[in-house]
Amino acid sequence: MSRFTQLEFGEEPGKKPSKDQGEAIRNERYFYQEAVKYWLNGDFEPALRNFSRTLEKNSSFYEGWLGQILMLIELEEYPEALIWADKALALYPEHPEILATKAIACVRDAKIDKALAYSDNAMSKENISSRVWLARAEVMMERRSRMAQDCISNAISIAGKALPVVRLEAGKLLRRRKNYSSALELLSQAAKELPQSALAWYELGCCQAGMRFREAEVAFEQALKIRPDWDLAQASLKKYQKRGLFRRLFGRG
Amino acid sequence: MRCSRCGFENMPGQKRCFKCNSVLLTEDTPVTIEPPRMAGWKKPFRVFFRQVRRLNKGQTLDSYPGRLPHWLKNFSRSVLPGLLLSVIPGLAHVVQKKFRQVWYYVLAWLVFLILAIVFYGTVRGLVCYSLAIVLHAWIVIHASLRQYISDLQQRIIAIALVSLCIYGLYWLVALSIRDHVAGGYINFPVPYQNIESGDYLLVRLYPPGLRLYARGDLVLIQQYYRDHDFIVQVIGLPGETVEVIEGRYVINGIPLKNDIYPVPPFLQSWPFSSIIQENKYFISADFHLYRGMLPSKVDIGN
Repeated sequence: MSRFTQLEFGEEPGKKPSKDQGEAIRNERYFYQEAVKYWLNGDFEPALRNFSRTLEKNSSFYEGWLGQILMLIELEEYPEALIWADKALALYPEHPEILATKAIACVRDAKIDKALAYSDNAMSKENISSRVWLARAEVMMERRSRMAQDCISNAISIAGKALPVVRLEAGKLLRRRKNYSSALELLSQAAKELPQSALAWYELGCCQAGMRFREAEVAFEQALKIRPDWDLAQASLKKYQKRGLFRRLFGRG
Repeated sequence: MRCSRCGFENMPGQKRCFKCNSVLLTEDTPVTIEPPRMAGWKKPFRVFFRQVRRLNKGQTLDSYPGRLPHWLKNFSRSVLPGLLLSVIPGLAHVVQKKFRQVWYYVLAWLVFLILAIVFYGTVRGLVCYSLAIVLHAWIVIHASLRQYISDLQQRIIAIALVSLCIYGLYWLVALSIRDHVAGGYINFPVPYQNIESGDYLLVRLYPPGLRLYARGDLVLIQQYYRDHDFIVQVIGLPGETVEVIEGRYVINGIPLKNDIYPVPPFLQSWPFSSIIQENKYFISADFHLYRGMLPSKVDIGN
């Protein structure tokens, strides 16, 4: 565990933050919220660090394990994500969401057969969540199956409170597959529901740029307003602004 | 002890939950919370192999049943046919429908073989050549002998023996190619053809006296008192007058371009003039390789 565990801060663990105390109690929930904040800003490296810190506080905090695997996938470290998913599966055997993340890692690492097996396994469990459906959709898209759209619809229909994030994830997935028209609808709604998410605006911008919509510039600028030092958004904005005369003339929107 | 996943109250001392089989964490259970990370240098390799897998659609050859007759698949699994088929690395595996197990060895073998040709005649070339042989040997063993070899010592002995056989095979192939192709170093730059001094050029061999050479042809000269053969340039044809005036070749009073027909430095220092005899050529090179005119029969290729 951490070398700071013996330090006394004068706070009791699990105590709710109050306005009088000023700073919030740094328990696993606090770091989890921080991690999610970084994640929604597209800053995956600090998000991963914060997910690790949640586990430092509470090693049986499931969301921390899942978040770490997802961040490793976002950072394109797929073999590491698989190793970590296996470790998480030792703690949470046969958990459908972890199996689904394994499927995502495999499908992005172009190991389609394995991805399908993991996805099948995840789908065979009870109480499957939106994430499992999204993983299924990704595998189906890789196999160019028409069922992918149904899987996304299912994911959205059972999302509940996580609907904005599910829309964002589904939009990202569709945008990566260059299905811009479907992605645009989801990402527009996600950007409306998560206005402080640089990632949502960036994804929306990429989608609009893919469709040659002039609103892409606004979306990239909005992403940069939330996270000014984001190299990826800056590069995308510059690339969009430097588009050729033909595209400028015939751009839509 | 309560399970953090399902909430089931387990007996003390249990390591896994009786209900959901989760690992039960106690206060003193050491848990690694830092995930493994990828080294930066691995990224381009992973991207490359991912692209290869994507091109392959992640499918094995087994995805196409009935492509090869069953008897051929069984035939290739026996030792001798496996060895014979593996003369071409990976062929036995293709027949056995397990090429995916060795495709990276075959790729590495190909890369080392190309590097050996590129660096031919140097230590690097020799190293690449040796590695290509060892890889080929491993592919052969993988195809047919692997089931009979269990420990490391046997593997090393097998690789050494098969490497020797493959070396002999490569030698035979090289001998057969040698009758048609040869190579040599060039000791002067030819800017017009983007050739630099020290380049190693491969030439096609012709029977002696069969071919008439044109001005500017690069020909290989065999010198029995030197270690390597050398490439030279044909400047003067039989019966012509060759002169060197102001650092340029002049043929029958017509000056030649210096970038196409470069004059070696040792010829630039004094005026030179000569009439070429019949059946002989005037050749240009940056060393004294032959005194007098070169008989056309000595030329061995271009």
